[in-house]
Amino acid sequence: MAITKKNIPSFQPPSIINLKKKKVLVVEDFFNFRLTIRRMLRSFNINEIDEAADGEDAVKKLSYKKYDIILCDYNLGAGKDGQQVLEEAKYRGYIDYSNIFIMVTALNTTDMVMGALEYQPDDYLIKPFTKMTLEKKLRDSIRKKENLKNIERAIEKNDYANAIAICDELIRSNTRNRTELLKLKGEILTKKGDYTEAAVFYEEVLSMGNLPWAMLGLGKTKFITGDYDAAKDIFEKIIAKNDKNVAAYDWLALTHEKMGNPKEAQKVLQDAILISPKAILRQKTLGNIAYKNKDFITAEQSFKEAVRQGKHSFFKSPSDYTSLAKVFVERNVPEEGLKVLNDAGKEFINSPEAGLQISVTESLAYKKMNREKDARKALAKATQLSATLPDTLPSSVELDLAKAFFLTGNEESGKAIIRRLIQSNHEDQELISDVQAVFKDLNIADKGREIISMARNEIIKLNNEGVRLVREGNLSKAIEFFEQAVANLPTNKVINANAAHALILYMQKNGSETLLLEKAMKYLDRVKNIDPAYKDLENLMKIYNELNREA
Amino acid sequence: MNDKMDFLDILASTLHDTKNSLGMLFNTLEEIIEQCKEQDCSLYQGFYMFQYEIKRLNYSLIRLLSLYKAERSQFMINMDYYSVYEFIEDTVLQAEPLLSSKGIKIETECPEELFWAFDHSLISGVLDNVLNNAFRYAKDKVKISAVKEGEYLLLKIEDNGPGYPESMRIIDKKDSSYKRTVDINTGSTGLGLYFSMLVAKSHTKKDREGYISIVNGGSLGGGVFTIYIP
Repeated sequence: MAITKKNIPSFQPPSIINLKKKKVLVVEDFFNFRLTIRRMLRSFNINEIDEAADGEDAVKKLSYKKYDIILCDYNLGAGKDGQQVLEEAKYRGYIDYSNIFIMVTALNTTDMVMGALEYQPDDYLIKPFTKMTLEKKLRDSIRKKENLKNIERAIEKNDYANAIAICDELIRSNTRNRTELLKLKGEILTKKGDYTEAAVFYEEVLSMGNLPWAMLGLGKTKFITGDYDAAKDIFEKIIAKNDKNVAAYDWLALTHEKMGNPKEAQKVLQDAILISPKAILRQKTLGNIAYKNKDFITAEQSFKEAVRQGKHSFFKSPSDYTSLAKVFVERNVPEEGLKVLNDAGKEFINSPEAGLQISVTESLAYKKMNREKDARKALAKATQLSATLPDTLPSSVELDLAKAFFLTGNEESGKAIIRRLIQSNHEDQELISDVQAVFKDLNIADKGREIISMARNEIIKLNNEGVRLVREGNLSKAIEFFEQAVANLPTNKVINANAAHALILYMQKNGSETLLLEKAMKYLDRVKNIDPAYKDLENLMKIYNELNREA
Repeated sequence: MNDKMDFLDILASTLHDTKNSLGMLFNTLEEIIEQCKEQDCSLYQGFYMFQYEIKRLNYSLIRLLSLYKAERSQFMINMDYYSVYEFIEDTVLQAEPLLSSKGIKIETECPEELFWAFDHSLISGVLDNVLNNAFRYAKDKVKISAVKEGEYLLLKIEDNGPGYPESMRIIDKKDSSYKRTVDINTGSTGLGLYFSMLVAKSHTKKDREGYISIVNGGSLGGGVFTIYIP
């Protein structure tokens, strides 16, 4: 049915949307342009308009006032750029789905869209724009938020089934925001753990056109379900279509890693960094892979870049410094490493976690310089700090700590850390080979293998005992058994999954209970965080969702 | 090593600066035009001519950068799925003030439920450019229409001006002998056309490729520009 409109001033602002009461922040480094935008906003009767001239100022303003609309220029001079403002504000929770963030740019948006990974603005506005265009963008964005509000709320409550139902209803009932709805639906299906259904959905979308986001979505489902060949194929296809799609590079690199091709993974990331060098997280990933590949020149470059970019980024971390220091140790210039660690100490002065990482790395550097006493002193400081911290340290830190113990002759402490690390991750092949590499470096490969297999056998035996209780139908006892095991090893995905499994079987037999449902969800969430591709997860989630509906 | 700046970076930052200045000019003019209208001063008609030229410059700069990038690697394309109806609404909104200043009326025709996958900024660049030219050539009417025909989306811009000169006409050129059909020496219009062709061609689906056609006649009796997107 063709609808003909004549001489349109083209849009009818619905009377419900009132711009007058909106609070707006204008982020723009160019004074004249700030003035122009302000005048435009004033002409829409908006009164509450604040300004920021750079990214740092913008984040500060966002931290103490809630704005309805943020108009942010991408190019903000020397400090943070618009994307970094968005990332930091979202990550810190200064803005959420109820705020409207519009990125203003002077050039074509393609590069920017491709460069933005997880955090996308609500819309882009290309300079120069007229007053009317600005007004329409604002109204469209407000209407979109209104339209999608219930879906976002359902997602926030983890009520994915309802979120999908609302998506479907909106897609069916009108044409507004259809693309956003399709994107959301794919994301929710993936979040929910319905990977098979998500794949079918993305295939369906792809029949309408070669949309990169749908290809990426499909690739992710293949990756998560362990079909790495298919995933690799898809990510390569996206890149062939658009060699600026850095998200596809990141996923392709991950896929190569999983397929056991770390050299390939490194190459892909190096390509991605040439396209989009201003991405601190990617620099860190590249640094880590290059370090594992013993390409210390690339590793040094990447970690240096990560440290440099960290100055303006929310994603700076002590490991950028300690990793760089470790590269210097490997390159036989430990005194350079100490300098870096000294900088790190100043940068993260009040963080015991950072202090721990720094001290461990210091002990590795001193050891390299044959300063045994200093090495032991640094390690003692690290041990002291670790006692003040909650017991889940990143596994790379634990591994460094164990290495330092072995190097300084304290074998028992080293062994204890490794044992715990292995038992928390006894099915994680990547980590196990990392541990093996450390033992090889220490020239105790055989002994290391023994330590690893002993630790593994213990945990396997423990798990089997619990599984036996489940098989025998002794469910209350199995729950008790696994809950105790999980309290000791809170990051072991198998134990968590089995604890959830026992709870779910119990509820299938005896009916749902709120308390038990909450416990099961906690364990399942952990499994999903540790390994979204865990083999029984999709099935367990499905039964859990059914039980949850009954409750 | 090599401390020479990459030419692409130089080009990009020069364009960035220039576009910022153009943006200021454009918005200042918009304000002046508004004040003129309020004070019943007829000078604003002339200012629209400025805006027209600024937009032309702006398109040229965007084209320049895109073509330069295309020369160096491939023509980048960023597909998404859009409501064609809303897309045309946006396009009209951009062009309306300029065209109505000369009394040119814009008609649109598009089914509300039409959705299609294409690169928004590339296609809107092509349409904006054609509409901007209509400022100079249309008598008093422009029509934008969209329709699905077979496996293609057709976006059509017609006017009631004198039509395109013989040398620019392209009738159903599905093959890709672009450079031969366009004489770049005839001036910037040729470059705009060349750009439109590249944009069309970069849209592919299965074994189909996009293309454009330029003819005279149509429902308004003037020039008819059509871009076919698979």
